[in-house]
Amino acid sequence: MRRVLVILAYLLGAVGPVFAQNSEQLIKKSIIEGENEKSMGRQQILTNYLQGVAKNLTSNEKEILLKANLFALDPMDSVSKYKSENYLKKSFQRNTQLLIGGGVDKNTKINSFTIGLSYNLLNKRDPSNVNVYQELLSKPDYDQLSRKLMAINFRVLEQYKKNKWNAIAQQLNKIAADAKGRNDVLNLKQDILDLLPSQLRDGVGDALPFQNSYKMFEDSVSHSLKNPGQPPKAGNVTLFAEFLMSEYFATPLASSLRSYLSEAQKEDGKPKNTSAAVSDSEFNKVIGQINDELAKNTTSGGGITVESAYQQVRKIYDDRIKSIQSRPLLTLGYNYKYTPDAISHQHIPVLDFLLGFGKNGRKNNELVISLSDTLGTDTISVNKSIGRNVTNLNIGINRILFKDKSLASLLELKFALEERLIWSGRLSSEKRDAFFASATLQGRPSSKSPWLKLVVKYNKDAKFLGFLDVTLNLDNKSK
Amino acid sequence: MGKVKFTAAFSGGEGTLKITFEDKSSITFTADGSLEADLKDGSRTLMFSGTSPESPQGNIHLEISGQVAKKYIYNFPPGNITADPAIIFVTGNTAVKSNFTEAFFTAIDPQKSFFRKSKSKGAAGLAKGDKNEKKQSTGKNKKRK
Repeated sequence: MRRVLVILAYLLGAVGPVFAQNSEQLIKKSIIEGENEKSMGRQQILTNYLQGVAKNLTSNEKEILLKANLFALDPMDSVSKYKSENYLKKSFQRNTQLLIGGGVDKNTKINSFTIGLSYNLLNKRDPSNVNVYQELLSKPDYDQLSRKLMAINFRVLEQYKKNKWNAIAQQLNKIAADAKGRNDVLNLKQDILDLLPSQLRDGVGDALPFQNSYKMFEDSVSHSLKNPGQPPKAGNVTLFAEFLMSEYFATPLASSLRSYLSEAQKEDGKPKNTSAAVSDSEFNKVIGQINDELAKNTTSGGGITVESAYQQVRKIYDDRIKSIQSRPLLTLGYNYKYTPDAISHQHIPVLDFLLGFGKNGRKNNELVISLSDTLGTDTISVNKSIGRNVTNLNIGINRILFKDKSLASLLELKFALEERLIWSGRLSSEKRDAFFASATLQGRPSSKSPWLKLVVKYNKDAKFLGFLDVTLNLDNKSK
Repeated sequence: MGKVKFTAAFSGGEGTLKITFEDKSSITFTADGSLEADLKDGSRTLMFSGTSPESPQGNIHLEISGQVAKKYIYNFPPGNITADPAIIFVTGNTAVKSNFTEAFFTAIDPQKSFFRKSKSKGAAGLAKGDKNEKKQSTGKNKKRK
């Protein structure tokens, strides 16, 4: 087992320089969320990035494969590469997979080589190709709730701004009156800085936007001191108050509210005030106002909160993504395998089809159909070369049994029926057709771990056969 | 009024970013591009909605610059964006504002003054065109087929 993993590491190392220029950067950049949510069935057919597979580890015919998406191998710098304009233009690369690999015998000697290419003919299940928002707007639930939340957020924030602005304007009036009483503006700036949240005071006095805005205010106060007959300009006070309110209170509040709403959408989110500039009591008051408005505007009765409302829109979104990811996938591939000892050349065209189905839009089941034909010569069993033509048809149902909180698949079970037909080149020990039933259990302890796959096949002649595969998604490891 | 420039950059696939202003007018980005809008001076509330590209590298980067207190930068990771608030300060031509001659120490009513600033129509009025929704169409931001 360890030797196999060493060989896998070697294979990865050999391919590494091809994209060494920015592979580390790219891998780090992979946020993975989308990949994690894909079923293993999908990842086996077409990897999103880079995948290493060690197959049949318990048998004498082990196989090491490395699958790479052509887009992943594109040496373009990562920023330009992932810009949507380029990303969408490179559809061919993103839907094409290169495969290289080798067979390993019981003495850990490489005894065969495989190279292949597959292309996704039906590009329907990639949500990054879909304008999801346009699809969501056709969902009345999503549209109505989004509009309602927007209207409420506007109202609550406008109310907050108005109250805060009012309070600051009055404080500025008092500061200006005190300056007039002292007949100087020496402490004016400090008095104003004292109004701001303590966490934001450092460096604020020197910041250009503050200086510009403050100067207007100071000039106004100075002018009134020098010219008692001419009143200062109230507009400067109101504008300065609005500036202070906006930049040092409302903007941090909105920022914290954005984080809060983002967390609120997650099933395991912990929404809380994240701004040191906004007191918890002030923040909670705003959340309370949003909740009050939601209760007033909900016909189904109370109970709806900002958290539940955002979870509701998120669920509609998640279901939409899930629905897109369940659309059909059809890939056509060609693999070539060479076994030097047997002087065997095999040409293997493969057609894979995947379609999700299930209830409530969750679609945790997938129909998986694979049809392959192996055409080749073989001298391993007889002294002369024989031409062989073997067709394999595999039809199965893959079910996701368990997901983590981020909806990443962790455990899957697949039942399949397989028919093998040997059209020509049949050996004396072989039958023309063979029927197999198989169960495949694949799982991983976390979305960052490699997949372990256990396959048990049953055939009335060979009885039970067992295989163990390890699949390592390199982008997953990078998370 | 201040000229405010919105610049969006998309990565990792298809996405939409809609920016709604206080008067319910909006601009929508579906690809890289920028748009200049005339916004009323002072504190402006915006709401973001849309979806950021659903892929491992998905992101929408938005910069708000021009006649504003500072450059405002927002990033939207893959996923849903619903009524996401932001507040910016439009500086506009504040020199004109400083020429107010209202009495300073006498019976200033900030609340009244605030309403005076907010109630005027078209707080986030776009220069021209549809006030309810204006599809961003400048530069390279054209919807892909």
